[in-house]
Amino acid sequence: MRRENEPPDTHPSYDRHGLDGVCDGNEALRRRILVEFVRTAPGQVQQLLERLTEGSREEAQRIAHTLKGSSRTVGAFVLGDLCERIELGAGDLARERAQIGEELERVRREVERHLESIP
Amino acid sequence: MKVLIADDDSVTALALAGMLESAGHQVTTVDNGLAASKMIAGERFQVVIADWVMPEMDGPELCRYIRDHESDHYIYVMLLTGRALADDRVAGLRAGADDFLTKPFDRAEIVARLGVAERILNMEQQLREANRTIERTRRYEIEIGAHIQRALLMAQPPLGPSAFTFAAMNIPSSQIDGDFFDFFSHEEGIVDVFIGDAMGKGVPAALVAAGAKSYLIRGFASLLKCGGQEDLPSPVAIVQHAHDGLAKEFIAIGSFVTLCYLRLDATAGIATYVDCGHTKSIRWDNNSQRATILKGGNFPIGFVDLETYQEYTTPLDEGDLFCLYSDGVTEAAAPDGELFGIQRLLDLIDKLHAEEPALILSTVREAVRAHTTARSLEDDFTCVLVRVGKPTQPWRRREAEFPSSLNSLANIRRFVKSAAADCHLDDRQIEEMEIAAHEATTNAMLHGQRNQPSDPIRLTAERIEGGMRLTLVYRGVEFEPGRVAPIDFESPKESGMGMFIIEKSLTDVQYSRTPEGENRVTMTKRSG
Repeated sequence: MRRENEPPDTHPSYDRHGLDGVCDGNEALRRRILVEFVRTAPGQVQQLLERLTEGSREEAQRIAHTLKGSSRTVGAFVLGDLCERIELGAGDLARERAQIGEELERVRREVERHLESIP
Repeated sequence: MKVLIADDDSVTALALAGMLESAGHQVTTVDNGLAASKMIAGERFQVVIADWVMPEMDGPELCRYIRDHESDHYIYVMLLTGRALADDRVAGLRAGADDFLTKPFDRAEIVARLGVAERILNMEQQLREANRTIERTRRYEIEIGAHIQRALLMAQPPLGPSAFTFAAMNIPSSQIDGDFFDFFSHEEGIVDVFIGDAMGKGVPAALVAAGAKSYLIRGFASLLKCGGQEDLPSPVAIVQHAHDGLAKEFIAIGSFVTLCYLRLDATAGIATYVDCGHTKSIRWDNNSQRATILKGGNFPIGFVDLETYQEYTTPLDEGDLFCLYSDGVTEAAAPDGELFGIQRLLDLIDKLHAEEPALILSTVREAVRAHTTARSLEDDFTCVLVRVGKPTQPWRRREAEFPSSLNSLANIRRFVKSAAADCHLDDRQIEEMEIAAHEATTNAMLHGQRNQPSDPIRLTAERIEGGMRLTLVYRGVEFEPGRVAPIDFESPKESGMGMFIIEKSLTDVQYSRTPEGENRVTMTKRSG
């Protein structure tokens, strides 16, 4: 939960309060979800990039869809939006391919930093 | 509740599982639809939450799988989707989904939606329980109905030496019907057989049938008491008695009973029947070697209040075969809807008429079974066969009633011929007896009764020393033979011709009238 006196999260890549509605104060659950994200997201991004390189459009869309869901669940909305654009083929794919790795890295750092603060 | 989550996104699945577990639910997760379908087959999940997009089997496919595979409980399916478009929701609902969860999740909303699921599942469970109770009650009623049917509605054919050979079969359908039959065995050579069917199915039909049968038996007993042992109540009187006692009750409950009441009198060579809208009974005529349908025109018992029943007669000979059956025989349907029909039954009787009734019956049953190809019957299969043989005891007195109609003359001559032959008259004497009876009954119908068939003609044949006595009894205008002018062969008028023929054909003829208004013509013919 966002505390009243706490300033809003200034980093747009990861919202630490994204899981508040899910966890409802259950910090152990928050930790498990974030750990799972950090464990699985890099592999998914890796697979996504490989499928895009191979031109496996359908498989790439499916992976983008899955990663979009997990990103938004934890509060990584920028990464989620990037995945959605890849999934829908709505944006500049070359630019999104270039951005997704960097964006994941930003999110991962923020999440790990957050994890350190969770008891 | 036991909840199965199917989502290839392990983060989302974990978040969802965490929320549901903290709300008290027992959660299992799998990462694709195929794994979920296998899990469902082995475990009893009440709720399945499936992601829309998954490898192997997606959410809508999993929905369809669940709905297509019967379960002993209802599975509440929620589709997990980022899609909020109405078309997607419609597609999800058509696939069998009950609800949707939209990402990102809101814990309060999910818990509330699971509450809705629980409420609906509870209602569904209560409904299943209620249905099970109804089904148990229905089965119990069917058992009772089947018992009523076996114990009260069906009967064993008469045993012991008889002029008749019987075969009877009732195979109940999965539902109880109102079929019934019974036999009244009278003096040697006379038996009553009746078969009926109460409208509808189930215990009510069985009870209506039991009521009808009871009234037929009571009617027979009370009419016999009124008439005395020597005077069997006629089939039409028995049926009319049952109708009069039951019609109002049946009309009140919207039911009725079809019936065929048949009296076979081997000594008189006459079959008398009352058909009350039942499936048409069949007679195999051993003389003409063909099967005929016994037609009648009465309404079923209790169909209309004021029905006056008519009975019909048909000759009866040694070797004849009578077949009474329910509509479960002729209306047994093949998978394409084609009915077994009366023609197939007629063909079977035509082919098998010389066989034992029991064999004919089992062959008919097998033919019906083969036609329907079904394991269980839609309707009761009920069939009674009676083969006419020779009476084992010589008769002393035969009696028969005929409608007062010139159409009866053939049967009357047949009755007289058969009786005269048994009295050892020679061929010429038999013919003369027939001629006399023909003339006398024609006069009675045309002049005495003005061809009014409501009062029947009654004939009694008696063996006497060296010949036969035939008594014709009818109600109507008194016949005074003294007022008939002697026949004048020179005159073109035919007056007196009938009396002349009768007198010349017989040894003796007497005309009399009883105080009750019955006219009697007593005709005697002696051999030698």
